[in-house]
Parts: sequence; structure tokens; C-alpha cells
Amino acid sequence: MNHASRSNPFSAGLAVLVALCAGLVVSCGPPEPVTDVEQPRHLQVGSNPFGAGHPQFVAQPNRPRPSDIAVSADGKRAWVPLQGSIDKPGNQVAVLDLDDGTVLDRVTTCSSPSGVALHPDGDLAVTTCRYSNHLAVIATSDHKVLHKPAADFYMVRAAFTPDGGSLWLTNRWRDAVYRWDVDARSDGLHIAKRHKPIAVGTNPRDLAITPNGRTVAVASVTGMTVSLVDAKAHIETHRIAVGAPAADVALDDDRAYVATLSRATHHRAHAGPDTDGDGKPGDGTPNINFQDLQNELAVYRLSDGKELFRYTSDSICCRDYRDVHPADIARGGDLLPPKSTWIVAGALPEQLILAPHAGSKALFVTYAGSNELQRFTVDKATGALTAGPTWPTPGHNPRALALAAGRLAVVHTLAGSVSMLDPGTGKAGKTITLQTAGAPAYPATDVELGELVNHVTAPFSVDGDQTCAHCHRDGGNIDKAFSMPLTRYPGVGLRMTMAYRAAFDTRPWFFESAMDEDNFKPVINEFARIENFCCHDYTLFSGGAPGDCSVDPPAQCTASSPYSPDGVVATRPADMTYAHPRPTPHPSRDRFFKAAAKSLIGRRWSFGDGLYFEDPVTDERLPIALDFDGITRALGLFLMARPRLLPNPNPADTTPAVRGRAIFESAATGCATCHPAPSFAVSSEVNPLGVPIRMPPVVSPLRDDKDRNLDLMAGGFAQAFPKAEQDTCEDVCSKEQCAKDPNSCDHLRRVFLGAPTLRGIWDRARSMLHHGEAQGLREVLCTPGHPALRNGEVGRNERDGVPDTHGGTSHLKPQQIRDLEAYVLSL
Amino acid sequence: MPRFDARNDRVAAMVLALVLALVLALVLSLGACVAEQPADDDSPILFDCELGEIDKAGAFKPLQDGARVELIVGFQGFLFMELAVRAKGDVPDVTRAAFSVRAEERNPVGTMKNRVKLAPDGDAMRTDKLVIFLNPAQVGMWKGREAVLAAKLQDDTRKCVTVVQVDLVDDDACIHVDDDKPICPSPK
Repeated sequence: MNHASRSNPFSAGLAVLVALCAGLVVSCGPPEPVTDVEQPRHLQVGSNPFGAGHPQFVAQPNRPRPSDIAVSADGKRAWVPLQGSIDKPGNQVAVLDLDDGTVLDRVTTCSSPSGVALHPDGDLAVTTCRYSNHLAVIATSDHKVLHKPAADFYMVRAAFTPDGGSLWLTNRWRDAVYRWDVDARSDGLHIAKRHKPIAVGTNPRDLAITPNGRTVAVASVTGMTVSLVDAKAHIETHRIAVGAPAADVALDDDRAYVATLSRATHHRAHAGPDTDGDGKPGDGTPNINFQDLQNELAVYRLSDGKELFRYTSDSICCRDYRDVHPADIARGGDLLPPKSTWIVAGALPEQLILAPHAGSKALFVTYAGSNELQRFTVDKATGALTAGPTWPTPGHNPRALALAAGRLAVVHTLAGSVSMLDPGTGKAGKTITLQTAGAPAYPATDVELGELVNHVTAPFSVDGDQTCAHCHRDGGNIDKAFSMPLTRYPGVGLRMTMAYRAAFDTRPWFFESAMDEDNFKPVINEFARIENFCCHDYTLFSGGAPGDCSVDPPAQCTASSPYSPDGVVATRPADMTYAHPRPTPHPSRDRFFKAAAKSLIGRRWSFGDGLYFEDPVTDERLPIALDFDGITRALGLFLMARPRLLPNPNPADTTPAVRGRAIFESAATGCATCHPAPSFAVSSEVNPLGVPIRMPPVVSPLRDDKDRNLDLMAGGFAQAFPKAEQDTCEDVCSKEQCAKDPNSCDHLRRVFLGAPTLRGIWDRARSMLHHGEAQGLREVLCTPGHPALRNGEVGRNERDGVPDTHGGTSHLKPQQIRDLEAYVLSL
Repeated sequence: MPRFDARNDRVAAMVLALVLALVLALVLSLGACVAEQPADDDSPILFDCELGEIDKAGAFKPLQDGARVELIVGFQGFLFMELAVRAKGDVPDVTRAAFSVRAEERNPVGTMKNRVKLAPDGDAMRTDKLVIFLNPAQVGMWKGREAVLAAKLQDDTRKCVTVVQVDLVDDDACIHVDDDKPICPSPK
């Protein structure tokens, strides 16, 4: 007989007594009626300026966009909120029969249901609602909505404590986690107490509770932190700086497992700003620019927040010509993490669960950017991970996952489906589509092509590591400034990650305001630079490869070691001396892209409804190839067509906001001159006063210790994108001096930048301005020493010591600054 | 039955001729007006335009058939041409533009620009320098070929189309990744 299952009459009786007493306490406590929100309100998505009048417009299918999953204890039922897109919110929660592979019900709940949690008793499901001021409590027996308790807008995820006594909720608007003490009864969720929210990092989403119920961990995507909260004391005990978005967190009683990315800032190891906090210049990693971007899993100790292990994706090191090889000591190969940690095999670790598997403990991870799932074995004693197999998932953009009676249920957000997978073999079972009847399979339009590539970009990157969504989660930004490749001093400058929202009426794009939907190739270029492909390789063909190179590659392309230091004549940096094999068998980038499109999407050509070649003479419109140019344009079309502005929960009609608007629009501050409504950015579409779209710096540029302007762009960039503007050396110094040393006046040269939109700033990262130096809106608005600043804050409204260069604010009183903040945060 | 004398007949004939002439003039003028206005089928009003390049002095130089057009290998290896369009007539200030490059033995490639501005240039209007990217970005696929360049400017009511045959050349084989340090092919 199993000792553990032996019955003990005494202890059983005690348990019954305790249960009876507990029940008595609960039933005799103050009767808390279930509550409904008094005035249900739903945030409305703003109008889309990209409409039917545009020649590339076509109506888009409605998509369910499932965002989370909760599975019943017996593994037979699943609850899946159909969040919809940011621009077209859904309002249903789907109830699935996982055995039959069917949709049992679609429960109308609220606007943009985002997360779902099942009470441990199994009788109630609670869904969070992004755009409604309430939750929805659903009876699991008949799928009826029992009531809708009032809640702040933008509750995004929910979790019950193991005893069912508390409901924890994350809130994207308030950047906080909420605890409600609850009692689940047949008529709904009785809320005994709503505790004061606990502040956490920016834009928290996923949360987890330890099996012992003592610790709550909250992962913040934008803020790149994990908050550890003592559930009993109700305080944040540690805020772990993960150094990259914390996409999800799973807990055992001792450790937190976090899905994240590399903490590098893509700077040189020992030059540029100190971004690894070691007191020395650089980020401490040898790779630079996009090549420094990795996919990672981190393990932290709950007692003190210490990082125990960090695993990375350098397992596919050196497929890109820029990759620093561990043996390449001259370029810092010895600074790479140990090879034993190179075990993360997919792109964009998104969601993870801990689950028993084959007698051990496993961690399952979805990779949203490469349509993959990986299993790891967890060392129970230490928390260390051992890599297991990686499998493709049968749908686009796998995100949420759950264990269901020994199976894995994987939610594909873009595909709009839930698939069952065997956790031992990865073999796919049934797939349940959540698309509405008659909806075409995803993707079905050129806008959706661009959307898919935006999220699942990894197949188009030569090392399989990167996606657009790594830095632009759901169109927003992350709290990180990077070194970017288009700058004059690569590896040492800073450009703040930009939100990719409201793109249509804020063109030209990026801080430089030099690119638009057809030509932002430098961004896509970083995923698969031409130097990786034989037919573009000037180390082999200094005058250009033969014209038929891509269809009939010459012998140099198939040589076993095509890279020869002796042959370096062109695009490879002089210090790059380590040989790299070709990353793909495709001789040209276009063939690589078309093959990736075929593999991912099943087609090599656009649908032709928004992406087409228009013959100037005949007006005939033809689909375009999904090569480098076609994929770039697909992304551009997607960015134009989908504003993705989360509706603003901050009211614009409060007294401070109304006062702030008057200040914003006053000539004294001049805010509206460069940030005019309705785009709140001067653009080619909106420019009522006709001001220049690009303007000289309004705040101090980023400079190094030699006073050089690190904001300057590479000259070649300015040539390829003629809208880009900056002073030439001759503009600021004599011809003789410039001829002698073209860099000698870089401290005087200015780069001209555009005005980014203020819409949606309420939802953005704390770091602001083009270099990310301002911490929060108040630092942006205030001049140095302004009385509205708080301790430790630095007023950034100055250029080289001259105040008010970014709008006149020095004359404003602290209350007026607060009013101005209130208005800007309502946009 | 009324009677008409010869004088009255002459007057009547003159009146009739005058009426016919007026009617004819009216019809012709209406026809002329119709030619100037968008027809019921929304046919756009046509204006004249031509492709060219902007020289170092900032002047527009039209491309003639047989002209040499330089292929530029620039930042990050992008391959492009720098063109401009000049137009005369009822020209919009802001327009959509479509370009195509049809090189011998190659599929046509093209690009659309949703918003191109034109500014006065003497008695005409012209664009700034427009970068027309070539794809695939392999200079060897394009250089030395004859190509037909076509451009169309079009807004809701107006349109121009121009075509010119050129030779694509790569006289400057350097890669212009930065303005002060182009990377040039090794002599070996």
C-alpha cells in the first residue's frame, strides 16, 4: 500500500473539522453581495485615417486573436479570451472541448477580453477586459456571465491564489498589480476587499503565483522588470531588472523562470555609454547592432531576486557574417556567454509553463517569432535548465500554452487557433479554429502578410534570431535605447526604441523622418544583410557578381570556405578576420526571402490587393514578389493600415487636462506648432503651420568625451534617403579644415530630426527623447532646475545649456506642468 | 398657307444659318469643354511630364533616349538610381507616383510613392531627387543593359505618363557607405 495514500482517521476527522470551521467562518462572515459595475463603459478605438480613399486600402477580415488560455483541472475544457486586434477588439471568450476539438460556446463578456483565470474550485472563470471598466465572471457549468464587477480599464491578466482566496490582476494603465480578496460562490465572485494596488514596472502583463501562495511575480514587458510581491505582506520585495522585455514568468516555490531577450544594448563591448552598469564604457558584449540581439531564458531566486542562470540563443552563432565567434578573441569572442548556455533554440520566447513530464520537471516555452515550442528539463535542486527538443507549432504566432491532461494546448494568436501537442514528441493533434464561420485562413490579405512578417520575422533573418516584435511589442516600444547601424559612429550612439503606432499620418518615419512605407529597407536589412549572400559579396566580386549569379552561382559561391581574409576589399570591417560559412544555401537575399515566404506563408507573391506593381503606362496592377523589397513593402502597408493605438483611458475632460490643453496650444509654449492635432506630430499629412518636418536639435545631442555628436547619421544613409538632413562638415567649418580631417567639426554638426507623435504616450516606456535620456514626461517638459522637478529628476528641455529649446516651459508653475502632463497623457 | 417672298426667304436662310452656326459653335465648344473636364468615365486630365536627373548645381536635366543612367551602390549595399520628374500644365502640387524599370531580359520592377511633392521650376513644376531602388540589389544584373524607364504622376483628376529608353551604367563602381570614405573595388 502506498504510504502516502493511507488513511488516518484522526487526521481525516481533523481536516473535516477544520473545513467545517472554515466554512462556518466564511458563511457567517459579512454577506458580500456579488457586484456589477454601475455604469459599464467601453473605450472606443479612434478612427483610422487609412481609409477607403487610399489606393492600397482593402477591408480586412475580423480575426479573433486569442490571447490566453485556462484549462479545467480534468483537462477537458479550455477557456480562451478572443481579444481581437487593437483596432478591432473582440468581445467573446471561447469555451473549447479539447477532447472533441470543438468550440462549445462563445460567451460575450466585454470589450477586448485579454486574460482568463479559473478559480481553483473550478466553478468560475474570470476574464480581464482591456477596453471595459469591469471584469466578467462566468459560470463554468452553463457558460453564463454571472456578473461584471467594476474594475479599472486595462486589466490584462488574472491569477487566483492556490487557496482561491485572492484574485491578482495586472493593469497596463496603472502599471500596477491588484489584489482582491474573494469568495467564490455559486452566484459569482464575492469581493471581500480590494487592496491598494502595488506599483510594478511599465506595462505589466503576465503574472504567476508560487504553489505555496507566498509570492506573486509580475512580468513587465515594456519596463523589462519582474516584480516579486510578498503576497501576505502585500509589498513588492524585489524588482528584478531583467534588461530586456519580461514576456512571461513561471514560478516554483523557490525560483522564477522568465522568458526574455538579451540584455545587451548593441554597443561595442568597451566603448560608448555604460549600459551594463559596470562603471566602464560599453555593454560588455562583443557583437554590435542587431547582431547582438538574442533570445533568452533567465532563472531567478525568489528569496533575493538574484539571477541564477541565463540561457541564450547563440547556439546558432555565426551564421551571420557579423557574428563574433568564440574563438575570435581579437573581436571579443571571450566575452560571449559560455557555450553551455547556448540552448534557446527559437525566436521571441513568449509564454512558458512548468509541468511534470516523464518523471521530471519540464519547462515548455513558446517562440512567437519562429512558430516553435521547446521543452527543457528543470533541475529540481538548482533550477538549471537542460535543452530538450524544439518543434514547429501548427499555426502562426504561438503564444499562450497550458497543460491539459497530459497534453499541451498551444494558442496561436495570429492563426486564431488552439492546437494540441504531445509534450513528449511534439506531435500535433487536433487544431481548433477560433475564426468566425466563413473567415479565410490567415493570412488572407497583403496587410495580413505584413502583419505576419512583423510578428514572425525569424524565418527572414539569417540566424533565425530576430523579429520586429522583439522591440515593438504589439506596436509599442520597450524601455531601452540601442546602438543603431545608421549612425556615423556605430556602436556608441543611442536611439530610443520607437513605438510603431499611428504610422499612416506621421510619415516620414523614425526620428530622422527620412523613410516611408516603401523604403525603410535599412531596418529589414539588419535581419539579413547582403554580405551574407554570395551574389552580393564584394569580397568575392569587387565589381559586382555576374548578372546570372543567383540562378547560376559561380564556383566561388559553392567553395567550402568562401571567405578569405586576403579577399577582403569592401564591406567587411578591417578587424573582421574570422572565417564564416555562408548562412544559407541561397546565393542571393531575394531568393532567401522568397524561400522563407514560401515556407512560412505558402506563397512567393503578394495577394495583390494592396501590394502590387502598377505599370505606369498600362495602369495594370500585378502582385509583387515577396523578396526583400516585397517584404519591406508588406510591412510598410501593415504599418499604414493598422494604427494600433490603444484607446486612451485617461479622460481629456478633467480640469487639469483642459487647462493643460490651453497651455499646450498657447503661443508661449508652442507645443502645438510641432505637435499639431490630430496627428500630434508634424508630418507630410498634417502640418497646419507649414513648419519644417525635420528641425535642428531641440535638446542637447548625445556627445562623447571628445564632444563629438553621436547623433550624426552615416553619410551613406543620408545619400540613400535624401530626406535625411544634417550639416556637412563644410556647413560648419572651412573647406581646408574639412579636407584635412572630415571628422574635425563633428562637434558642431547638427542632425535634423522629426517630431514623433504624442498620441499613445500614456502607454510608452519611461525613457523618452531620441536618445532615451529623459526619464518620464516631466523631465521632457521641464527646463533644468524647474521647480516642478522632483528629487533626482533632470530637466531636459534645453540645448547646450540654453533653456526652453523644446517649447517654452520655464515660465510655467509646477501646477501648470502637471496640467500639461495631464493633457499630453490624455492624447 | 403663309407666303414668303424672296427677301423674307433670304432673311430666314440667314437666320437659319446663324442658328446652325451658333448651335455648331455651341456643340464644338461643349466638346472642347468636355475634353478639358473629367469625363463620365473619370478619365483624368492629362498633363506633360518628363524624367530627368538633378545635377550637382540642383538643376533638372531631362533624360533623352539613349542617356546613360548611373547605378549607385550605396548605404548597406542598396542599389538605386536618382531620378526626378518635371511636369507642365495643370500639375498637382502633391501626387502619387509610379515608376517602372524594364531592362532587357529582366522582369520589370517598380515602385510606388504615395506622396510626391512638386515645386515650381521656371515655367514647370518638378520633384526633388527621387531614389528609385532596384531589386534585386545586384549591380551585375543591371549594368550594361538597356532599360525603359517609365513614370506616372497621378492624383484624383490628373495624370501624366512619360517613358524614356536609357543605358544603365556603373561608371562609379565604388560603394558609397559614407560620404568621406567610399569603398572601391580592389585593383586586384
